[in-house]
Formats: sequence, structure tokens, C-alpha cells
Amino acid sequence: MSTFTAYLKKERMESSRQSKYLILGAFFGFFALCTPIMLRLVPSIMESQMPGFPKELMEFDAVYSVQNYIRNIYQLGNMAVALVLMGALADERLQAKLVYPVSQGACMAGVVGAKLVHYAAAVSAVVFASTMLSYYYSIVLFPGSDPGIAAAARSAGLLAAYFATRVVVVVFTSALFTKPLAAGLAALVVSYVEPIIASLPRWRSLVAYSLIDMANKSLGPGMGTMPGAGAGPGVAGGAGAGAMMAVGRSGSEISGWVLAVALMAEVAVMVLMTVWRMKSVEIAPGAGAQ
Amino acid sequence: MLNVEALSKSYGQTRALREVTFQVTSGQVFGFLGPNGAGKTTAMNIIAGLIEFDSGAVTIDGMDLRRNRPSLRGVVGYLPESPAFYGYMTAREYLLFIGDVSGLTPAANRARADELLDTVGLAEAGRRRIGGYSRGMKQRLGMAAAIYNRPRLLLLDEPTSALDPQGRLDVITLVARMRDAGMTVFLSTHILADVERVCDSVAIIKSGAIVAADSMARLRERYIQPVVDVVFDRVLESVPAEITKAPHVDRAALDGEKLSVYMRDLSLGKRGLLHALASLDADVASYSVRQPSLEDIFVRLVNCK
Repeated sequence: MSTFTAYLKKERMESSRQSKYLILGAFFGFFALCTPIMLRLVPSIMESQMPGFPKELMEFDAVYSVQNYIRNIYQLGNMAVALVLMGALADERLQAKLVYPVSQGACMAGVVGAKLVHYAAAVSAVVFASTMLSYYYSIVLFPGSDPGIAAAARSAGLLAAYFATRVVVVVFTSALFTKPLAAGLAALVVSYVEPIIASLPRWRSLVAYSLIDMANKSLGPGMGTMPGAGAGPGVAGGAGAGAMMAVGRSGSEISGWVLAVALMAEVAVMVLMTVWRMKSVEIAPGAGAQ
Repeated sequence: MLNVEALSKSYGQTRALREVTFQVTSGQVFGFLGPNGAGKTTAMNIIAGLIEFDSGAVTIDGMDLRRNRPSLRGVVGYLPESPAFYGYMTAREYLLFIGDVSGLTPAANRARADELLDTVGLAEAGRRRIGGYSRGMKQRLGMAAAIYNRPRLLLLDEPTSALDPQGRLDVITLVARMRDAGMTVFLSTHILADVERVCDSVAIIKSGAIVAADSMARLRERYIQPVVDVVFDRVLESVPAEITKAPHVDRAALDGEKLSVYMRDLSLGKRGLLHALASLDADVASYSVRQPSLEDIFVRLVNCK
């Protein structure tokens, strides 16, 4: 337990002094602010660039605005989380920073546990707050289409839970690979492959990506049309990603309980494998090359 | 205190350690010498419990390392050659972190951190971030972190290799103080002057195998041929026969007025040598027994065996 509390304190200090909180907050906050503002401005910009452009072709509401934020943050937020956390364990091994703590009796389960708890809590809090910020700006800029604060909070909670699972994935890959960049890329591959698995009806309730779909659904049907994007009401439009978001809307429904149990099992397996991996690798100076 | 028996370790096809065997007595400073790549750091990492080994046995304080790894971690302190810290922390914060990991109470932790910063001469710099420290300051902080738990066995891997003469002297003085405080110190280095200053016993490792392990005095006895340098008041034409015929003299070499006499046994032969010198038709200007150095032993063992 002493290792866990010591590392929790150390991770807080590290994130604060290396501006990790600031980077994550600024990144998610920027998109939370920009998405509704851009959607509000797009019709005017199009009209000024293309005189005679019918503005009624580009009408959005608050639900669509928040869904658009969720779509953006799924793609870019994964990158931010992977890049900020890819060195969580890899750096400690590569630079032999675990030598002193381990030789003084630190237990690896405490080290891994503290990192997971700290970063999962920090990332979830940032994602939840930024989603609520996006919701607030969306209802201010698109009045008359408020999905309700409860629905927004539920959506934000699901999105936060999704990113908490991403933290587990990044920390796991960070234990597997010695090079932080390799760890980050491996985590991104996992995150970007999940939508393909989620497109299979039988697997839909087993992958974390379904949390994104549920976060969208919990806001209700939104209204948004974008010429050429092929998206209509109820679908967070946009080429490519729009198609991803549509996954799960057709075919079988996602079972919340099955998803929760599956994710808990997946997280537990990854955490145990991370601890096992860290216990089995040599952490001495010069041993990081394995 | 430390018993290493037939310790072997390989990295793929490379055999880093080959049946290494030595003992370290409690309360002494044990020098572990060897050229770069001889296997010193591998041996230290194994003893510190940081890496596994293929075969053999390591016993610390009577406890087998493999079976008692968790409980032995508090017994052994380790200073790696290039200690790595969190650069964003201050030295005091880092020591408090180590104390937290060890489970010290907050009050005891603060007291120990301040005491050790003072001991290693970082009391003033203790509140500055480690990222701005010099190599010597990091080495001293590493020493403080290594002895934080009051280990009974302290492993020091090349603690003076990157330090200036004053820094080296500080570290060696610190090592001597730790020995005086009852700690057993295992010192790996290739700076032979440091070993001569502070070590009681020495093991020399070459290509993963121990080529000599004994007390400093016995190593000198065993591996150094005693030499007596005699300077005469005039140049001699040849080596006097009285000298080469004297008991326990192996050979003699003349260089102008200086004669070097190589003895088979100095303690038994010096009286006879003095008699032989007195019988010569030349006055002796000076007579000195050449002090054998560890470097002579090291070079002889590493290069010849």
C-alpha cells in the first residue's frame, strides 16, 4: 500500500510539473469550445464564400453539436491520451528510474495501480468536464434544442469511461514495449481497430468503442445536415467517422450490462498482464533493451 | 554477510558471469575490480535483486536471494553507476518519495531526508530540482537514496568514475564513514587508487570470471615480487656478484648508479642483502623498498591470466 500511495503522490507531482494536466485540459477544452462555435459559423462562412448558398442546407442543433464533439474527440482524444501517456511505464524502464524504488522494496502492483488510478481519474475528469463544456456552449449557440443536462451528463460519463479504458490500454502497451512511441502506436492501433469489431453484431457489446455509440445515443436524435457528408438527423455526420458513429445504430442493440461486465473483465486482464509484465522484465540499467 | 557461489549469467550467447565465487565479510569494504565489460555491473544487479541469474547461489545475511527477494530488498542498498531520478523533483522530495515507498512515517521520513541531505553535503541544494544537478551532486544524492533504509549491505557501482578529485575524495570518505558505522560496502570500480584507499578485501574479475579474491595484504604478498632499489654514490660497471649470490635474491638489474634487486622473499632476505651491500666497495646513497601497488597486481592478473 505504501508503494501505491507514494506513486500516486509522485504521479500527481509529475503530471502537474510536466504540464500533463494542462496539455490534456487544453486539448479537450479546445475542441469542446471550438466544435459548437465552428458549427455556428460554418453556414455564415459558406454563405460569404459562395454567394447564394442556401443556408437552410446547413442547420444544426445542440444535440448534433455535442455528437460532433464526441466524434472529433474519439479520433483526436485517443491520440492525445496515447501521446501523453505512452511513456508511463516504458520511460521508467528505459531510463532505469525504477531501480531505486524497487531496490527499496517497492512492489510492482502498487506502481502499476497508482499510475492506472491516477491517469484514469485525471483523463476521465478532463473528458467529463470538456463534454459538459461542449454541451453548455452547444445549448447557448443552438437554443431550443437542449437534450437535457441529465442526458448530457450521462453521455459525458460514458465518454469518460471510454477514455478510462484507453488509459488502461496505453499503460498496458507501455509495459509491453520499451520504446514509448511503439507503445503509443500500439495503443492507437487497438483503439482504431475496435470500431471494426464493433461493427460485428455479436461482438458489439464486448468492446469499449460501444461506449462512444452509447454516449451519442444517450443525447437523442440530433439534427444536422452537411452537404456531401451523407449524414442526416440522428447521425453525427462527417465523412468516414460518420460511418463509424452509425455503427450500432443499425442491427442489434448494445446490452449495457454485458458491455459493463465485458469491459471490467478486459480491464482486469490487462491490469494483471501489465503487473505480470513489469514483474518479469529486468529493470536494471542496461536491461531495457529486451 | 555476502556469499556468492558459482554464479553464472548469460545474455543470449554472451556469458556475462562464469561461475563467480567470492565472500564478503560483515563490516568491511570489498573492492570489486575489473576492466570495462568484465561483468561487474551484472553481478551487482543480481546481488541487488534487480535481474535474474542462470545458476549458482547468492546468500545475503544467511538468506538465499532467490527465496527471500522481497525481504532482502530492505537489507541491500544500491547505487547504480548512473543513478536515474525524476528531474522535476527536488532532492528532498525524491528522498521523501523513497521514504514513502519504504513505508516510513511522515515525521521519520522528513527527519531521515534532512539528515541524509546533510550527510552527503546537499543540505543547501536539497530544495533545488534534480534536473539542474551536476553529475557529482546526482552521485551524492544516489548515495543518500541507497542508504535511506539503513541497509546492512551497500552496493556501489563505479561511484567515483565521473567525479573530480575532490568529489572522489568526498565519496571515498563517505564510504569509510559507512564502514565505520558498521555497514558492509561492496564497491565496484576500475579506479585502483580508490580501492587502495578504502578497501579491506578485493576480487578481480576478468571476462566474467574471478581471477583473484583475497584481502589486500594477501594479494600483495601473493602477486607482488618485492623489489629493493639501491642507489650508489658512483656508477657501477656491472651487477656485483655479492648481491646476486645473497640469499633470497632472485635477480638484480643495474641502471647507472641505481641497482634494483628483485627478492624472492623480502622478510627473509633483507638482512642478507644489507650484509652484501656493506661488503661492496661502493657507498650506498639510498636504500628503499619499492611499495607494491594494486595496479601492479591488477595489470598482471588481467593481462597475463
